[in-house]
Amino acid sequence: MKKILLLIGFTALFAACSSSDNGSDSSGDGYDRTALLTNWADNIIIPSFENYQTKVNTLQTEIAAFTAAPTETDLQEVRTAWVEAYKAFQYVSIYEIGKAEEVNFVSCTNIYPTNTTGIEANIASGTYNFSLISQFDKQGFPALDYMINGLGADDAAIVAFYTSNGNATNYKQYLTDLAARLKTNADAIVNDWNGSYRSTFIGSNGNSVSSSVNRMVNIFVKNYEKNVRAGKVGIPAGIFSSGTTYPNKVEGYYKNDISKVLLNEAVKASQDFFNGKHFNAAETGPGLKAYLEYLNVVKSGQPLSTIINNQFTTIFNANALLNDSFSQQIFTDNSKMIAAYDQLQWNVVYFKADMMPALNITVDYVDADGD
Amino acid sequence: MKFKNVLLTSLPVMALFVVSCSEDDTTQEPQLNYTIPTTYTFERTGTTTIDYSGQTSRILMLDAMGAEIKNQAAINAIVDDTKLSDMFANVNNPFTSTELNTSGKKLNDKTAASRDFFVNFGGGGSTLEQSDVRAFFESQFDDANAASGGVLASAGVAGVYEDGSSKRLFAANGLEPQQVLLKGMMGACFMDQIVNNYLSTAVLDEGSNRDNNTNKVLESGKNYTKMEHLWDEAYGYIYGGDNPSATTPTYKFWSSYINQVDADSDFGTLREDIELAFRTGRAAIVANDYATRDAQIAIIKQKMALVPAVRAVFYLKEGKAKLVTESGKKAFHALSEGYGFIMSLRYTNKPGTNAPYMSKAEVDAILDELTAGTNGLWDVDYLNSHIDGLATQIAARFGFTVAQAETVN
Repeated sequence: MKKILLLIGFTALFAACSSSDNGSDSSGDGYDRTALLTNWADNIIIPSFENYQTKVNTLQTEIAAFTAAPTETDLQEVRTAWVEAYKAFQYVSIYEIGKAEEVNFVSCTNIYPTNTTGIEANIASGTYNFSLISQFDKQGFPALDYMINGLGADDAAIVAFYTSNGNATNYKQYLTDLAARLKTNADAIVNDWNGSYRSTFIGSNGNSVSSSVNRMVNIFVKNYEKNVRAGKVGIPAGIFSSGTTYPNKVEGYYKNDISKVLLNEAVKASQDFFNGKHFNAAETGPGLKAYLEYLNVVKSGQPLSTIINNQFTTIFNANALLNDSFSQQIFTDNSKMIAAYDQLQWNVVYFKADMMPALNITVDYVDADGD
Repeated sequence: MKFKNVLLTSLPVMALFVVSCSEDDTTQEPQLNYTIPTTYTFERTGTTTIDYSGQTSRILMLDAMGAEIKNQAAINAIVDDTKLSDMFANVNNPFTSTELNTSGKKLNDKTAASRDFFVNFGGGGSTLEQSDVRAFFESQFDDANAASGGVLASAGVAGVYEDGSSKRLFAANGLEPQQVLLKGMMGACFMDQIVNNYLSTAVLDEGSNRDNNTNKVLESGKNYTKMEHLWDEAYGYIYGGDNPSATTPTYKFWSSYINQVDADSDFGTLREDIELAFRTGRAAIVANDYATRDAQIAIIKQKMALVPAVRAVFYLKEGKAKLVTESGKKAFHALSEGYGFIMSLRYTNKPGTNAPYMSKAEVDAILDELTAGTNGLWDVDYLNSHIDGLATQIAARFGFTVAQAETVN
């Protein structure tokens, strides 16, 4: 009772504070949130997941061919398909909402460093249930990375695990199961979006904390902050460990030369979402950029949307100075990693301190760094 | 009945929101309808709501690091830089106190780590700067190690200097790593955490902090709201190491230097002003009076910035006066204290600007100039002609005169 009354009070006052409350739309600021959500769903999220699904299917096919008769050539084909699917994943990691949220999509697809001891134990026992939380760090792209890049010193040694190894049958089964698990989730998510979830998502067009726009913006910013900025750069560069670096905590550690590629894909995916850019097309539609421009959000005399896009350019420039292998980069000159982190962080600041307050969206997650 | 109470308690809050919406910015003296306690004592249902144990731990850790260098120097023993690094990071049980070893707190991750400057990058901050500052303090451990063991300090040679009853370790350039560490960390850690983190509205009002404070939603298992606790943590970085009720009262770090500045009548009632602002702000948080809270934040930021500035000028002038004694060596301790306090100026926060009174570049330029003589501080003729200019530059920026700061009267 208490809380409800106060909330009503707050809501009323916040509404009174907003500069333009002339529309009868659901957001209270005149911006058409239905069109925004429709563009996100139809032109960005669903096509991104369908592309991911396609790439996962290819990966599964290549793995099936490899396990049927393991050769070094087929291993290379698996690797290529794995990189393509991993890149496609960077475009869907943002959208952990709906079915993706329900299945803990990001956690069971991309926890790294992967748990190699656990993987070997799974292979030895031959029994495991990938839907258990305790199994999340033994599956997904990092686990596949270990299975196709990390088992041996060279390709011949890796292939031997699938041919002459005493447990070759189980290694093949594990590789097969890893791909199947990716496919199960991809199919479930795509089916849900193409089923009932699309209309649920678009229909939640209000401005409450649980509305689709408020939640999606939080999820987008959180993914950018935690998975992109911290996971791909900050943690390995020692930002969160008082300078102790972790060259083994880079994304794609066993392949080792794709960390930068994956980072750039993830940053591009974030920028595209911000701009409302259609997946795999040049066209843009309603998005956060257009929303900010509709509200005439200006910072230091410049449109905030311009500042954010300029910052994305700066980020790509900082990333360009990095070695393809972040492990190597950390060894040779970690300050470039920190410099890249700094540029990524600027957009966290613009998103959380400028964009979200302007959109009247509360940050629903808090950094747990108190004492 | 309950219904009425809720409406009544929420009224002032609503009024505030209305005020914050209005374009009209005429100021009016707030009529406080709550009591400001005469000591920093706050309770809820008879139990204290105050907790700043983490801050006390860090103050004691820095104290222990200073003592480690001092005690090793006193017996001409080697200062173990690895042990100092361990103390900085609180790993490998480096402290005599088990309580500190198991506290889970450490100094290094709170060094140049404030929300405003090193997360939101206000005031010219960046992660690169954070990384450099932490590495700089690590370099002081190496300098202390290199100076230890009993070799006498001389121009360009690290070593020990017997300063009366004390043995001081000087780096090759004459700077005393122990003092640079202690005074520098007062700025990079304690000051930064106080004014750029815990007294930042980005932290105090983060997420649902304000709603929870207004509705007195307590932290899980605690007797305080998040906002109350954040305010106490700012308070703790100043007063958390004090023991004012001891036979011989002890005051550590900022609390001690606030007292030293306060002892100079040129700076009025600085000590009382800061303490009152902390008590008023805390009472305002309890009463959901955020406008008064914010007014106290501005007072604390302004008054706290004066402390390192006044002490920096004081030590520069004290050092200058001692340049003629023992080839200048007598001056190096004071100049090193000054060096650390000048470093601290970069972490001050000028109310309304979200930036320091003196930028990183300006501070670095002053520090560079101070040590630019041949073999650093050993070049007494160089220092003699440069110190006054630096002292004047600092005093002018913070709005006092060199004469006011150099004599405590």
